[in-house]
Amino acid sequence: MTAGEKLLIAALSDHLRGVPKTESGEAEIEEALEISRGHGLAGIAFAQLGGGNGPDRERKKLSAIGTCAVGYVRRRENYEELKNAFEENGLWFVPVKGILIAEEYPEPALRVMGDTDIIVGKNERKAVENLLKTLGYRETSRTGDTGSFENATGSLDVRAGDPAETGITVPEDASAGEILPDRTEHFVYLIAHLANHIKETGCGIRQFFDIAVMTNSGGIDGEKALELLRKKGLEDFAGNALCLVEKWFGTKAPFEIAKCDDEVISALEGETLKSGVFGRKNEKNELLFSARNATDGAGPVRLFFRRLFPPYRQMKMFGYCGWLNGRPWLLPAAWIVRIFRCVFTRTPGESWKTATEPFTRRTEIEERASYLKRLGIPVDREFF
Amino acid sequence: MKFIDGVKLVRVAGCDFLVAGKAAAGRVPDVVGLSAGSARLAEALLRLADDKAAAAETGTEDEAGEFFEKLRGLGYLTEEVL
Repeated sequence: MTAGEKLLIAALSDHLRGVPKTESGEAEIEEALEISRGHGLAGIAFAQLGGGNGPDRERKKLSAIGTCAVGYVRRRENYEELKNAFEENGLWFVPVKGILIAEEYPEPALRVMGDTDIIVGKNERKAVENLLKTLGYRETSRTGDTGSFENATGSLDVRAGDPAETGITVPEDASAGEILPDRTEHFVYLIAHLANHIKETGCGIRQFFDIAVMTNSGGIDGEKALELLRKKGLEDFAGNALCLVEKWFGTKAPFEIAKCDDEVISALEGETLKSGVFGRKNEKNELLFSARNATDGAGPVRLFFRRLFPPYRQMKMFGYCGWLNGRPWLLPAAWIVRIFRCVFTRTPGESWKTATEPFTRRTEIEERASYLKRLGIPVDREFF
Repeated sequence: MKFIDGVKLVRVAGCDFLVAGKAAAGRVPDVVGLSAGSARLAEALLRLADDKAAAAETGTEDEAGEFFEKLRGLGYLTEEVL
């Protein structure tokens, strides 16, 4: 860990404990501030460390914190508007991730966020989409059950799923408007989301800090959390992630962790520090599909054919195959669409390069698969 | 009305800002950092929306005048209050 990285972690830890200012040397402060920008943590870093060493440090500090203030005011306004609209139209939604966690931060405005994430009922999906249209939102993309929407002042990720898929229980007689998730289920949702991020692209310091903030606030049922994590196959991963959270921020896990494997924690730490807010490494998801399959011992030939004809669980996640979701019998049609897309949007050379990766990048694929396995992330499972 | 609709006074990490919410977005600067004295004036302005004198009591008259001018220059303040 570099001096700047150490300082940033110390600043976050101090912020969580209510220490108003983090002491630092001149040499590492600029590095820490620079790293904080890449991880979406500039507001906290500037608040804890000041604006750096330059003569305009006060202006820089005000600018970083002021940017957070504007983002916070606007997203709360958007959220209130959304809440009222759902209530008035007799629809419910469950907020998850940033919009809830921010309120647990010592300074909620400093928790920068992009999208507001909500879960809605699978059967209400159409009604919700119509409602969003009336609020000026337009759909920008769709991956599986999740649609991304944006209007002039904010963006929204809407997941349509039942409790068995999301792990968030909703009362059968759910009233209209906002339904806050069970705290423990939300905690498990966050861990699963973190695992997904690591699997797909990588993750940044902020996602671990979110977990630290939540465990620090308490109210998580450790036994229930462990049981839910076991069901998702994420018990070992949660242990590793919470070991890193404790190492960095000093917050205790809500349940007893069997063992902190220093080597694994160190690898996770290294990748996270270098990854940026949502992960930079493996950003294009290059090795994911191969890594998913490599862990079950499949050789290059089998991987090659899986690349050509991916299974349903992978195909339904492709943006252009949204219609496949819930209709596995349409898989052959999706493969045909995929082949046509490759023919018309990629050169033969590119397609061949991708298809033959199981042979040409075998070592990388195996390394990635082995890393995920050591972390305790089952690469062939969906977590929510 | 003294402030444009949708402008809010926000305190974050010990710093005070006037922030343009959605209703004011695009018409005034998104955010203006306030000094300690200005923040007191802004607070008083927001709290006592129709009473310039009460707002001025929070600082000296000169400070208040300067602050009002600054806000007017930024577009935060309507003419009627000046």
